[in-house]
Amino acid sequence: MKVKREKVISINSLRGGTGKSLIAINLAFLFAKKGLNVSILDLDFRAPTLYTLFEGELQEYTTNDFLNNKCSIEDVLVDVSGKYKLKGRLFVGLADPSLEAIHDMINKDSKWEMRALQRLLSLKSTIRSLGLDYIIYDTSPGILYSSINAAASSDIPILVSTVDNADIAGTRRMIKEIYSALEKKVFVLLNKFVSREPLSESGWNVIIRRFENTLKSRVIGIIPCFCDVLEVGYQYIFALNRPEHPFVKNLEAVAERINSIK
Amino acid sequence: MNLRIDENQVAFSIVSELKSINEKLDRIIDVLERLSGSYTLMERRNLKFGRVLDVLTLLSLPDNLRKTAMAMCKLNEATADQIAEETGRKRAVESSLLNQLARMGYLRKKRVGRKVYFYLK
Repeated sequence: MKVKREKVISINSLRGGTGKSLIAINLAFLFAKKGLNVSILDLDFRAPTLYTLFEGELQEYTTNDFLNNKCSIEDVLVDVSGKYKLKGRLFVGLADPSLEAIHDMINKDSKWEMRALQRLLSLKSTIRSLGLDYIIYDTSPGILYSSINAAASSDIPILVSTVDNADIAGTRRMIKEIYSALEKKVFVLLNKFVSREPLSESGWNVIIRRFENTLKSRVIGIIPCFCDVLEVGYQYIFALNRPEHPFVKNLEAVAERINSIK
Repeated sequence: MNLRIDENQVAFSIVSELKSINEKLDRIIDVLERLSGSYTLMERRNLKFGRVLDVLTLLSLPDNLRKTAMAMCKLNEATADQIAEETGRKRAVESSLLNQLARMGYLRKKRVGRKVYFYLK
């Protein structure tokens, strides 16, 4: 019998450029490749990213419209599983990349943000009705209404961080002041890790324990820095085009750990 | 005649009596608050103009209120019983916290029949 997951994953970070969106996209494809049904929603309204990859899929309605209560989430989602020949189903929900829409979202008041949180919380029932295993939120970096709303409405909040001191210190503060207050058990994914020498499994474990002690949270994976990943960016999907690449292999391990979360 | 007491029926009857007592207590608290004029100037202002329960406000609330407020965000409109079911805490605790949030101006209250509903503005 198929295990029902029905979970919302939010992917956030303190600062921009941590690789959050690339991780979100590739995780979504890895889940769908394995036969799971996934939806990825662009909630980064200040710098929408997903439309770069799915430009031809831009629909009449966007995630902005969903939060503005102009449409249902079903109106926003596009099924791209056929296009990429995926075993499971993958739906994408794009944010409006127009300057006008970005300006509109920046100027929302706190009452609108309260309603937006309620709209996101209502997606829990959508997961079931659409037969989804996961909804993945790709959010804006930092402490913004949209990203905290996403974290507050998620079951598996993931914070992506690089290992530089400022990022780690800020991530630790975010965990303490936001995620703990929301009673969320947060998972940290360290990205762009630079190692001077190849590490053994025990070497990786020592590093993971060290960061877990600092962050007081579970580190769900460490992904080394790969120049070719940065170079390719959103030109193609690593999970599909380069399945043997160590970036994908590391993410597969992260996906397995996510799958094992009760 | 040997009468056999159906334990389930007794339990059901006790629960329904307790619910009725809870509803009456809610009404008494409501009336007492109105009669005693126990609202401070700030509370009266909050009740009149209302305050918004957005996520940053949620973060600024004390832990016990935040849990109740979060459940209200999820349900939008609910009785103390429904919130207690959501938070896993006792109904009496939730009733007190919901009333506190209402006095702070984050929630409004309305009576539908014998039940008190709290809702977000």
